[in-house]
Amino acid sequence: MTYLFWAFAVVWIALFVYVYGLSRRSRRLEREVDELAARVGAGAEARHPTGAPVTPPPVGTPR
Amino acid sequence: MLAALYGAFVYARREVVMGDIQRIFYVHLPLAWVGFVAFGHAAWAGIRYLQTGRQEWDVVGASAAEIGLLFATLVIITGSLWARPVWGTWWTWDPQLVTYLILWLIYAGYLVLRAAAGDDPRQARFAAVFAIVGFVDVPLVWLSARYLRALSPVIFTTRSIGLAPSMAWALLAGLVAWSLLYIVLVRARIRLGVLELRLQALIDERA
Repeated sequence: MTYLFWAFAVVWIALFVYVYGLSRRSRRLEREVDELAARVGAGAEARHPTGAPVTPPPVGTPR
Repeated sequence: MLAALYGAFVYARREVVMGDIQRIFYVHLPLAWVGFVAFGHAAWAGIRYLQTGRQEWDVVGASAAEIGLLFATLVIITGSLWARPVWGTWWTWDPQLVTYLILWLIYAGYLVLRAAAGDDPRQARFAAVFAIVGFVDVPLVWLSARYLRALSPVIFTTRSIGLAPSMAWALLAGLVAWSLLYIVLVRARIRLGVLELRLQALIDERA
């Protein structure tokens, strides 16, 4: 029974740690993206005083 | 997932020879199956990346390989915890175990390669090729259990499942639950990868 307990325990602990790590990294990245997007937006507005819309940068374009 | 746990611990009848230790099988085999699916997903994303050159496919490949490697690691651990009381050893150089260890090393290598690639498209392409070629080992793992006198029991044959009905249902519940969990995890991991791309694009724009 000890082996059975540890097999399931290891699986669930590993999953919990992985999901927790993913959610932490995700929250941190969202915060960084929001901050940078705000800064880039502010910089673009400073360069375009007419208030022309700022096009967001393309994501995932071929390298 | 609750149904899978209920199936593994309550619904499936106790195996006569191995006893309760056999219940590890209801998490071990679904993890192995979903690990294979994840590596197949990574190989397919590698093909798409080579065809299109779009970074999204690189992200999909890395996400699938990362979760596949996590599952493969858990397969090795749960397999060892099963082998110790049943075979009397934590590890043996059985053909199936060796080919599975090679598979684990290939995808660990892929993730190291991809992490080292950074913005270099040539290295990213090389990593994609690595993921595709690495998938060749998956059928070898499968076939080694059948044709190379491996110690692992062969459950599925062309004639039968080789399990009592309650055991087969518990296994099916596990396969469905872990497959669904894979979908949830890979979607979350891809979302994280896309956020990383977005952040890099913003940093490049500022520079």
